Amino acid sequence: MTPKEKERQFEAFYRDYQHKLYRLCCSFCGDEEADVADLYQEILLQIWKALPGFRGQAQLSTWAYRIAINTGTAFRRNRTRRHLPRVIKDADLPAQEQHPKDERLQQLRAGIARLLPSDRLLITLQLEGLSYAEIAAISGHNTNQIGVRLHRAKRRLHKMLLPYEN
Amino acid sequence: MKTDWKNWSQLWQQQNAPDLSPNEIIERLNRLGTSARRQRRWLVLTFSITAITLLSMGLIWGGIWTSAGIGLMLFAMGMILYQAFSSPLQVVDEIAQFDQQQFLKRQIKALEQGRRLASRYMWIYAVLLTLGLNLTYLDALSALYTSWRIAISLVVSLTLLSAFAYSISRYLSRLDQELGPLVNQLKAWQSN
Repeated sequence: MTPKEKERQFEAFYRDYQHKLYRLCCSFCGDEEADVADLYQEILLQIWKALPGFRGQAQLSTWAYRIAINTGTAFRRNRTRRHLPRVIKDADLPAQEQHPKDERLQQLRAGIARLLPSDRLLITLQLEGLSYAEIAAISGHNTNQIGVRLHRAKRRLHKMLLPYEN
Repeated sequence: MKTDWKNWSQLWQQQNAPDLSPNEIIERLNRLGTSARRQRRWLVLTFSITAITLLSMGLIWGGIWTSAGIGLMLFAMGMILYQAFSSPLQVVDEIAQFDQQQFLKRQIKALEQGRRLASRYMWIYAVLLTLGLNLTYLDALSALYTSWRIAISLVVSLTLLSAFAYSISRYLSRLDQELGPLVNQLKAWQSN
């Protein structure tokens, strides 16, 4: 793959997935904006590096989410964090991220970040509107179990957010 | 709860990524790649320069034993440096990428191996450092009586090894706290 082809492929990918991947970072890092930006940058870098190796054996979304989840899991371990300069600055963040006005969104993000890793993953993927089959392919769970697991995860999240609702 | 979920979903979808054009992000990613490469090159360069300088100084002012000792210590440092740069958790696994069970199995194995290696390499480092230090003593303490040389060598070696034993046990317990939950999480995913 030539550098031009790689850039074209990444461009198409970026247009389709930038917001989805960004939201996944929010679920990993809660309301720690600096961490969200660092993780988002790390995920894009991993995908940029891995893109020439993508042969289409899986759906692009499954492949991308999988890399993003693995990067997020590794990111939560301080030891694997690399100290690279931040290329995505605070000024690049959307206005609502620089000054989050919506308190409910902040509470939702904090609640999701406090969930168990497996619950957090299922909740985030369903919030993105993915089907059970897609969630199963990404998370590695059995498709039949997704519904039950999601129901339990939602109940736990609901319990966590209940004090803020009133 | 149904209404809640609908609201949460709408709220969640409101979050948008930084407003950067693809070209801009590609340019920044390229810059990041260059920066990471530069960091690695700089580290290799400074390490090599330090190694050459120390070895030359050892040969000029010390002797063959001092140089051998310094060489051994530098080898140990290089070994630890290599370990520090290789992360046991691969985020992109070429072979098992599309088989989740296989992928998790490999990750768990890599993490558990990482813990064992960390312990083993740190002990090898401790022994090589002590050995290197003792080799430099052959030159540095050559003017002293043999009994003094043995005493100094023993005291320094034992102190060094005790300090290493303490820090290795602390490091491993910290590593267990970090890796333990991660391995458990991967194992829980694997069993589903």
